[in-house]
Amino acid sequence: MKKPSSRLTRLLAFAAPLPVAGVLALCAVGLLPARAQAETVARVVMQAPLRVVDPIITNAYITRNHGYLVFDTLFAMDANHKPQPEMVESWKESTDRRTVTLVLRQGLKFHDGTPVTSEDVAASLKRWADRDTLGQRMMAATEKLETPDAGTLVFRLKKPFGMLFEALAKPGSPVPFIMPRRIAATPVSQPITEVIGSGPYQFVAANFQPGVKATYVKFGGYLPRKEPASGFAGGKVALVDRIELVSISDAQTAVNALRRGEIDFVEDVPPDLMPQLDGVKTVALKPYGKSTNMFTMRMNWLQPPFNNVKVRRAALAAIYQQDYLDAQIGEGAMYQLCGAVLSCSSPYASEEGATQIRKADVARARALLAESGYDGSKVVILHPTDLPILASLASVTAQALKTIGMNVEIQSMDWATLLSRYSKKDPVAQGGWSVFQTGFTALDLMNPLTNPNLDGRGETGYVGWSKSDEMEKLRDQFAEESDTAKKKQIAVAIQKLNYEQVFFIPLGAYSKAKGYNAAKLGDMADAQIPLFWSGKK
Amino acid sequence: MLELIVKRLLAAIPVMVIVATVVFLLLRLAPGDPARVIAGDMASEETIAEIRADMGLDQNIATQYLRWMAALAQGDLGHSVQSKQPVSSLIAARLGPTFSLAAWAILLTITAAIPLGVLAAWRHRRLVDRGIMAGAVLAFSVPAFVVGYVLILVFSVRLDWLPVQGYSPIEDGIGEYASHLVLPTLTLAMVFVALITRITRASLLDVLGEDFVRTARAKGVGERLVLFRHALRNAAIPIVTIVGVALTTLISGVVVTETIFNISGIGRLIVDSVLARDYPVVQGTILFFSFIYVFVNLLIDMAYVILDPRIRY
Repeated sequence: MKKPSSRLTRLLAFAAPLPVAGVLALCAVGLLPARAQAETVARVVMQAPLRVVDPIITNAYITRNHGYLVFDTLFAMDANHKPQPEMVESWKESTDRRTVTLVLRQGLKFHDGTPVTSEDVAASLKRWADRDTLGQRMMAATEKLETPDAGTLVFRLKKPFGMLFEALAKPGSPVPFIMPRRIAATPVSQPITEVIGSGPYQFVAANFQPGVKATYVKFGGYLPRKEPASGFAGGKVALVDRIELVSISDAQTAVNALRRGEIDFVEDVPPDLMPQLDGVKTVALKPYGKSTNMFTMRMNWLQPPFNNVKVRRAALAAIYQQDYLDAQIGEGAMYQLCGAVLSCSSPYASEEGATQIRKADVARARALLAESGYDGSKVVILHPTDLPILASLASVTAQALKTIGMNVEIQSMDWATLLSRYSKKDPVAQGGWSVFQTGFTALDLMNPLTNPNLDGRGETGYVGWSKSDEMEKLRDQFAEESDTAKKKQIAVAIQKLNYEQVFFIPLGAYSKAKGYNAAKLGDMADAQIPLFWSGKK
Repeated sequence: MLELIVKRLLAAIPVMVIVATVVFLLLRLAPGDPARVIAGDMASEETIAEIRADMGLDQNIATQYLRWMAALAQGDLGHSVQSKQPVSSLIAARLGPTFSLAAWAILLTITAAIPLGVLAAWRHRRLVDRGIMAGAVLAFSVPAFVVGYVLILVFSVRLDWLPVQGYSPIEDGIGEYASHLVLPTLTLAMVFVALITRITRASLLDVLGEDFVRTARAKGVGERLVLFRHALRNAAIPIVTIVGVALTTLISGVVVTETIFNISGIGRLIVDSVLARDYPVVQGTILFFSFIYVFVNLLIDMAYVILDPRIRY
C-alpha cells in the first residue's frame, strides 16, 4: 500500500482529536458557575420513586412518606408511641366510653384555601377505613359517625373500642390522612387525582413527573402546633421552603451526589456505602433507630410441609437471626437480635418465647422434623431478585432448612412476579410456594391488629393463611382493652402463641441510616421515617 | 426517493400492528399483576380485585386487546396504571434526556471513530494502527458501568469538575445542560467509538485493495481524493449500516448509562414500567421504539441510495 501523504496524515491527525477537544470544551462550559439557587430548597432521594400519589390506595412506603408532607392527621404518635392530638384541639369520652367527641383546631385549612371541617374528616376516615384493617375494626365498633357542626366529630360506638386513638394516630401505611370531602369521596378502588391536604407542604401537581421528580412547597397557611416535634406528633414547622423529591435508583450514584452536594438527603444509605461518607464534613449520617425494621419469614399453612405445626417448629429451631443479619446488613451497629413479634421498638415488646431465635438448635430441629413425619416434600422459597434489601434472605433460609434435611428449592423472580405468585394457595407443584420472606418497618408491626403476620383468619387473611381462633380472640381482646398494662399482658400472650404455632419467624431487627446535609436539614424531626419538619423555629 | 419514503412508511403500518400485538400478548403472558404492585404486599384479595376492575384488567384478554387497538387507531396510547398520566406525556417527558444523550454520543462516535478508523487503515500495521486497535479493544471490552463509575470518581468526586448525576434541560442554561451530559456521553460513546473505528478500518482496507483505487493512483489522483472520494465513499455502506444500528441501540439501550448517571430517559422508563407491570406504558414505549427503528432504517436506506447510485428499491 502506498504511504499516505504527509498532508493527509496531518489532516487525519488533526481530525481525530477533534471530538476530544469538543468534550474538553463541554467540560469547560460545565465548569461555569451553576445557576444561583435558593438556599431553602432541599433535594431529597427516597428509597423508591414516587408514582402513586394516593396514600390510601397503596401501602407503598414512598407514598406514605409523600403523604406525611401533604396531609395531616387527627392524632399522631409521639416518640414514645403515645397518640397525641394533632388536628384535634380537645376531646372527651363519655363515662361508658361509647361516645367520643373530638373538637378540631380552629383555623385549619386545606391547600386549596377551604377550611377543614368535620365532614371532610368523616369522609376521609371512611375512605381510609375501607382499606385499613385497624380502620375496619374501628368502623365495625362504630355505630355512627356524627358531625354536629363543622368543628366537631362524634364517634357513637356500639361498644368501647380501646384502640380508637391508636387507630386515628396510626403511623404505618395506610395512614388516616385527612383530605377534602370531595376528594375523599373517590371510591377506594380508584386513585385520587387531586393531591390536596392540610399538611405543612403543598404538592405541586404541575411539576410532578411520575418516577422522576415530585415537588412540594411550604404551605403558608399551615398552623403548626405549639408543642415541639416528637415522633410524628407536635409542631410541624417546615424546614425548607421547597422540597424536590428526586429519584436516583443507583445507591452509589445517590451517595456520590450527596457527597458532592447535588442532593441534600438520602433516605437509605446502604451499610456498605457508609464508609464513603465518613469524614465528609457537610454530610451527617444518622440511623433512624436501632430496630426500626424487621425481616420476617412466613410459611404457607395451607400446603405441606408447613401445614404441619411440627415442621414449622422444626424450621423455627433451625433459624438463627445472626446469619440473616450478617448476610443482609453486615454492619453490626445497624442491627440487633430481636424476637419481639411486635418489634423491639414497640411499647408491647417482650422476649416471651423468643429465646429460640437467639441460637439455632439443629439437633432439636432434626428431632422435630423426624417427629413430624416429614416425607421429603419440596419446600419452595420465593426469592425477589430486584430488591437488594431482601436478596440474601432466601439463601440463608435454604441453607438452614437443608441442614436439617429438608428438600429445598429457591425460586428467583422479580418483585411484581412474586406478588402474584405468593397469593397462590396451590401446592408447590402447581405454582404454589412454601416460604415468603420480606421486611417491614416497625410501624407496621408494633400493633397486633395491624401486624399482618399475626393474622389468624386463615384463607381470608394475610398470605401464609395462618388460621387460629385463639389468635383472633386475643386480637379482639387487645382491640377492646384500653388499659395499657392489660394490653401488654395480651401482647405477651400473642407472642407466646406465635412461637407455639409459628405464625411467622422474626429474622432480626435492623436500622437504616439517613444521610443528609447537616446545615440544611439538621433539625429534622426524629422518627422512624423521613419527616421534613421540626418543632424548632 | 419520495416513492421510497412513502412505500416504507406504508410498510411500517403492518409491522407496527404485529409488534403491538406481540407486545400485548407477551405482557399478558408474563407473570405479575399491576394491581398488586400498586396495592402493595399487605393488600387483601378484595382490594386487589377492586383495583383490577377499575383498571379494566378483569376483562378478558380479547376485550382488552380490542379496546387498546381501537384507542391506538385514534392515536391514544392510553394512561399509566400507576400514575394515571397519559403514556404519550410520559414518553414525551423522557425524550429530551434520551435524545440528547444519544445525539451527543452518536456525534462523538462519528467524529472520533471515522477519522480514527481511516487513520488506522492508512497506517495499516504500523504503530498508530496498532495503538488505535489496542485502544478500541480496550474500549469495547470495559463495561459501561465500570467506565461510568471511574469517570464519576475522577471528574466528579475527586476533581469536582462535573456533576455526578441528573439531566438539565437546555432551557435551564447551556452550561448546566452541557456539564450534565459530558460524562454520560463519554460513557455511552466509548463502545460505539471502538466498534465503528474497527468497522471503518476493515471496510477501508478492503476497498483500498480494489483495482479502481490502484487505477486512480496510477492516473495520478492525489491521496486525499483517493481516500475521501474513492475509497471512503465506497467503504461507506457498512459504516452507515453500523452507524444506523448504533443509533437505534443508543436510543433503546441507554439503560445502564441512564441508571448510573440518574438520567430519566426512555430506557429507565421502560425498565421501571416492566418492573411495575405498567402495561400501557410498556406497550406504548415499545411501539415508540419500533417506530424509531423503522424510521432509522428508512434513513439508512436513503443513505445507501445517496452513497451508491446503483442501489435501487
